[in-house]
Amino acid sequence: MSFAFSVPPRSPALNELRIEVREFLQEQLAGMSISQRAHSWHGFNAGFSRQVAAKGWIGMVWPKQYGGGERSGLERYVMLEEMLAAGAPVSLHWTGDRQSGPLLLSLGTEAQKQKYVPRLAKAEIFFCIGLSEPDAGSDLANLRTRAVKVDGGWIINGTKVWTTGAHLKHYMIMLCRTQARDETNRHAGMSQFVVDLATPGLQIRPIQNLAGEHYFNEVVFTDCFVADDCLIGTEGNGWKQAMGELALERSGPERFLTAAIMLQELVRLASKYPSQRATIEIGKLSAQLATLRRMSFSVASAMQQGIDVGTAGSFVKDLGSVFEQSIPDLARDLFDLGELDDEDFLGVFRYVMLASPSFSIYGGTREILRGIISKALVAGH
Amino acid sequence: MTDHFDERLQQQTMLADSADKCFADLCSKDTVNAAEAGQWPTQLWDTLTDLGFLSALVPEQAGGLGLHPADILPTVRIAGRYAAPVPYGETIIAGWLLGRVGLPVPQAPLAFGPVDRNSTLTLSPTAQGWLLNGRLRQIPWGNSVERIAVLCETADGLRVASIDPKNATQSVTTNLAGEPRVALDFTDTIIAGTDVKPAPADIQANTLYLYGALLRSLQMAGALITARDLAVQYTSERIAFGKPLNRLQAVQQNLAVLAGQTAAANVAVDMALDALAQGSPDTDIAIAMAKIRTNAAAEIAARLAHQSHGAIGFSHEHPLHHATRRLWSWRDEFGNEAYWAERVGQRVIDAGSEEFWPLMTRAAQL
Ligand SMILES: Cc1cc2nc3c(=O)[nH]c(=O)nc-3n(C[C@H](O)[C@H](O)[C@H](O)COP(=O)(O)OP(=O)(O)OC[C@H]3O[C@@H](n4cnc5c(N)ncnc54)[C@H](O)[C@@H]3O)c2cc1C
Repeated sequence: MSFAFSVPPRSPALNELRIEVREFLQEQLAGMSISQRAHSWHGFNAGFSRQVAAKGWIGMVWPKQYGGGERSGLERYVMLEEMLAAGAPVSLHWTGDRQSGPLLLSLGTEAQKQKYVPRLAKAEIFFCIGLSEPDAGSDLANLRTRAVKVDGGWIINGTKVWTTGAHLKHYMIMLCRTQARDETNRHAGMSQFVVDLATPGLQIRPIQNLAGEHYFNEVVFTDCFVADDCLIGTEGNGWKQAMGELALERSGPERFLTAAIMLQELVRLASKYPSQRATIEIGKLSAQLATLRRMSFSVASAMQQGIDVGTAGSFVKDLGSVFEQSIPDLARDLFDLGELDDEDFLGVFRYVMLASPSFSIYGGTREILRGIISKALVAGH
Repeated sequence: MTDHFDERLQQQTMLADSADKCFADLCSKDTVNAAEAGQWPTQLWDTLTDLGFLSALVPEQAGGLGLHPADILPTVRIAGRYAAPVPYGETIIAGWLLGRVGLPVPQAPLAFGPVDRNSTLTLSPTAQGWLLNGRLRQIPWGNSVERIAVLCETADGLRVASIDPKNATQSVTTNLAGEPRVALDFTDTIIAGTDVKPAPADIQANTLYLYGALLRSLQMAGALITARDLAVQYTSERIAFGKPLNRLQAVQQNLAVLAGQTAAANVAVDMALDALAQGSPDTDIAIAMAKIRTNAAAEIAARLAHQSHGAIGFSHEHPLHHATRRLWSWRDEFGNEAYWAERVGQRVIDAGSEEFWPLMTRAAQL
């Protein structure tokens, strides 16, 4: 993919779907407060996830044979961004739809696909991601968690950290070493496993974030036995597989719509307390948002056509996180919060402000993404 | 719909390829420098004329290509990439306007106006035709164009007039990039009745200003690509601390931001072209957003492109300034960020917070 981000012609079918999703959300979210909505991407609600599944909107692009909808990547894109724009609590099913399902479909055995994918699509099971470790963040290849081959399966020891939603989900797809570490080739000898979070020896410990909320966890494996059929793909090929998975992670609308409800609230405040400055800033944010949407849409379209999107997702996530982080900073400067008597807005502000440092850390830090972009520039693609 | 899209895309690709070749062959660094010193690039201009680009929007029966603006305007981005020192987009748009109302379109450099928002220009009917008074400011190449297509509010409604700049008192200045920007003062200048026509219903008083904003956005999108490419190239060639600059993390981070801004600006411009192609009722917002986004990118990217080059980029010898001085000029022509952002913001606020997202989805043409 070049750095051009082209977009296909607008399809009327997408508009129909857009309206359908909007109507669905209007009904489903009727009772939610604005500050609950602001949590959208960090909103866990199994009942809601099942309603989404019932509409066929989890695994929309997967084969029907495995409970999918065989719809287009662009239809999925439209559905996703409508969810985020409305502040729907999508967190439980998001990672499964985005990466665990596609990973299993492309690398899983027939038995694995049948076992997990239809239940993912029905929102009966939810997946989390086990990559980061205490000594392996940006430098993921430094991970130490180790699986040792035994009769009929593997014994896993080690610690995963920052695992979002592990306490609410059913399975983890994790990356670990299946061979001793080779200092000359740190990427070798890794493998991916799907692990039932109820496995004996597996312990989930809450980690509170700076707001005192519990979203992520430490997951400790102590002599956990997983059967042979939990290995995903090829033993030793885990690094490459995991990197392919990450490519799905960086270009979606969640990379710039985390603060969508706050933007909407800013528009409300600007009509309640009109000022030229607020009008101008809202105009600028709108221009950025429209641009980011087209970039993200373009990547979704390229992926749908099977085009290698390379670094395109890194552009979206880098620009997206700068944009999202600017919104609470701008809000406080525009609407002197010490004087603002508007509890709805302040509730939204508290959440977004406190969540904002994470926008440029999870899914690849800003510096790492910029390193990736720069290498692609130098290589000329 | 898709067939039509493909056909259109094919035509656009053909036009872009041939424009690219023309500028690559005939718009070198020396051409740009010479133009700044006052030498008109005859060969470049004549070739653009022969290729039909300049009269692309003139109806076929009047000798033009009769294209849709969305098909030819992408070549303005290419002109921007090469810092083409000619009123390329201006001539295309002026030809479009004159052609639309059936006025003759000379095969020569043209301009349109007013290009400022507080024009004092007046056009009033007299026995001999029309009387033109007031000032046209900032007219690109206003001292050497043959005609200026002027849009002017009169007591009888909006009029399009074909004006000869030689009838004005001219004050020549240049923008930061050395491109001529000329103020033209008219005092009781008589314009023949045959040179003035009523504007068609779809053309409003701000139509030319919007087109101007789109032209500058396109040119900036192109200049950003050049600035990015120069920085990528230079940092791969220059050795410091025993390795190319681009192996240094701080340099890499700057390149990535420069590339991100370039990509975003180009996407914003695509959005505006898309709106234009579809005849979207939100075209004005899409153009406004494109200008906001390219202006913002120009600020960040020009700084980083220079930073990546060190002193050589500050020299006249190196061509980086052909791109950056134009970025600094063009971002202030046809409205800065604040001007357009206030317009977009007001539209958003008037629509109300519940309508914010629907408006965003429409404006981005997705
Ligand atoms: C809210 C949240 C949810 C998360 N959820 C999950 C999850 O579900 N599953 C999971 O596996 N992980 C998750 N993570 C972890 C996330 O992937 C890591 O935080 C991230 O990869 C960065 O690693 P780190 O925190 O160890 O920081 P470090 O890698 O230690 O980085 C610290 C700083 O150093 C910089 N730095 C590091 N290396 C370089 C370099 N080469 N060049 C320049 N700068 C560098 C970084 O950019 C950063 O600024 C989550 C994180 C957060 C904040």
